[in-house]
Amino acid sequence: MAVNPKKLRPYDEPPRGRRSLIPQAPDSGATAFLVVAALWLLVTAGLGAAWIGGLLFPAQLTFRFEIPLPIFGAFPIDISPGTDGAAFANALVYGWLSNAALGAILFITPRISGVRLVGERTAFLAMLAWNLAVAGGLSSVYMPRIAQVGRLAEFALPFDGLMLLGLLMVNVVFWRTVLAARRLPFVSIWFFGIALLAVMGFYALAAAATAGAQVISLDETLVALVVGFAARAIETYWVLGVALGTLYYVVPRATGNPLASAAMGMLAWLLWAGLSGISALGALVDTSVPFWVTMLGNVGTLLLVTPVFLSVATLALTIQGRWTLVLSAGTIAFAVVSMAFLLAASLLEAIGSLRTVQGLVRGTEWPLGAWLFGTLGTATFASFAIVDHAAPRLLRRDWRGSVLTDAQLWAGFAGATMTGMALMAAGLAHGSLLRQAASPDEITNTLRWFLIVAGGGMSLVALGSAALLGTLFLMYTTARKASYAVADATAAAAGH
Amino acid sequence: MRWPMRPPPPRATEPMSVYTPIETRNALPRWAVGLTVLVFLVGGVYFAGNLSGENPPIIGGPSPSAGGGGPAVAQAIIDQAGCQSCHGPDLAGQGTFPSLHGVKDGPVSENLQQLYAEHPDDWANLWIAGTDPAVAGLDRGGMPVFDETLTPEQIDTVVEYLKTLP
Repeated sequence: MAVNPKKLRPYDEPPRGRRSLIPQAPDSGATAFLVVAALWLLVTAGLGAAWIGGLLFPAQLTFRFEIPLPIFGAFPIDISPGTDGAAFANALVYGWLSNAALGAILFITPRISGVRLVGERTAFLAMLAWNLAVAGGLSSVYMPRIAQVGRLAEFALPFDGLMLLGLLMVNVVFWRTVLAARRLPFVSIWFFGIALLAVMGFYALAAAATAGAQVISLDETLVALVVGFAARAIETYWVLGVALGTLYYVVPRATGNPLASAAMGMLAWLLWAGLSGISALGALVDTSVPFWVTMLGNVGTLLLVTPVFLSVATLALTIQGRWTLVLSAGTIAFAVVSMAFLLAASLLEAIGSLRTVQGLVRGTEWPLGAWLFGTLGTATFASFAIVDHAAPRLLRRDWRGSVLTDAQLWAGFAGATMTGMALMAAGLAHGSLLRQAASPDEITNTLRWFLIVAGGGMSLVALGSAALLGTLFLMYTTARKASYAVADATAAAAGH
Repeated sequence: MRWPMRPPPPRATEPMSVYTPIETRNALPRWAVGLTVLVFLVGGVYFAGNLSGENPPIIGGPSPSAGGGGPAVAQAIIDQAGCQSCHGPDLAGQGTFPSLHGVKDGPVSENLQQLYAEHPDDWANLWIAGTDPAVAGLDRGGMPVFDETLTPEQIDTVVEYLKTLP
């Protein structure tokens, strides 16, 4: 029977579908991870600025006080350049980059495996667990009584557990989806698979070592070595691996070109998977470790240039014919900047692993500068690329970019370059002055200028992150709604 | 390529999870293989030429005869106190924080010279503890007071260790 809609009364309308507290719509996990990641980038840049500011003005920006708590008694809080630096590094890796990486994995995996993500709710819960843990862990870094010691392992133990739970949930979702795949997965999936397993394994290893130090009084040196090894492995397997996997996805998608060589991509994957573990041995620096083991790790770092070069070459060949896309701020521009940082960072890491160079820069700011090239440069811009590509599809908006995207590109690029190069130059100056037996005051006065430049760079990164948030906000609130639904055959052509 | 043993699952119904393949070309250029082999050869030669040597200690320099609890204990205390977070992983200084190497020759900061002149033997202990009247008026420049977190014996162990650093 035909119904005249004009005669429908309110109680005739069908009941509205109830929204679940934990969303299970397609891509809800990926959307949540990517939006939260953008917020974390702003926090990270703020912490970075606080850290460099603290190094420049330690007396003014160091605060130590105690909070009286009913059960724990006086609880000391330490806000100093040391804790700011640790919080910055953790926020960068676990806040911004990891959220963006997990969002990228959840966005990309169903699109190239051919099945819907298995466990959308689990993915959303993983996002909650992960971000609660990171927020709590970052707070714990400022509490000397519960903070742990060791690079990228400073979070208090309960937060380690929550992070591992989040990682386990994402691993389950990812592997169930991949195992249900209709086709042999694209190279990005291979990168993501190893990266996800590695970050969970190595984070658990570091957490177990720090727990062992507390519970069974493990040897301090052994714990420091294990934590250093795990931190390096997380950087190579997780931060680098997800950046590579993401670039392999966004470049062919955004250009509409086929991947220039899947075989070269798989060769790069094989080399990366093998050499990343070997490279982590280079972090084992102590008299108790045989020298050849550390040297093997340094050679692994040196050889990591190969998969990086093969990947950059494959991606550059893929862009062939579409280089004009670089001229406007957007996915390809972000990806190309990421590739440039990738090449630079791997070469700098390789140079830094040479024995003679290590003798000069060990204990200086150089390694930190090279590390920032990899994290604030390579991985951050790969994440920018996937956010730029995925956000309109996730938020279902017709978005052509705005001046904010240009601001994000240029402020982020200038900021990462300035910060990384200033710290590397500071390291070289520091090393040279130490060799000349310069007085500490002379060293301090010289380094101050480099730190001012690094602080300026960090402020630009903050500006870029604010532009990213502004873009997401404008996209959601002002852009026209659009559907990116495409049929199988036309999907690639539509750049989905 | 298809996985032969697995029956295809039901097609996704949601518009955002449709299968959108990325076309690929499979050729492996010869230059890529050549480059990989060449870099590995260079790496192998470099490794073979740098097998001998000895790693430095995980922090600080040589510490053959540190007094008090010994270098391992001193390093553990330094770890716990978080000295490296400001003074660098090698305690060689970073940013505006001074190097702790060369403490045996006296303080490196200008504002501690007077303290050194008045307390040449225990100036470092007084400075680290931070509560003695002798250091009351000095600008600590972000240096925490360790009087409550470290015992005098622990401070002594750390100072003895620092004095062994070159």
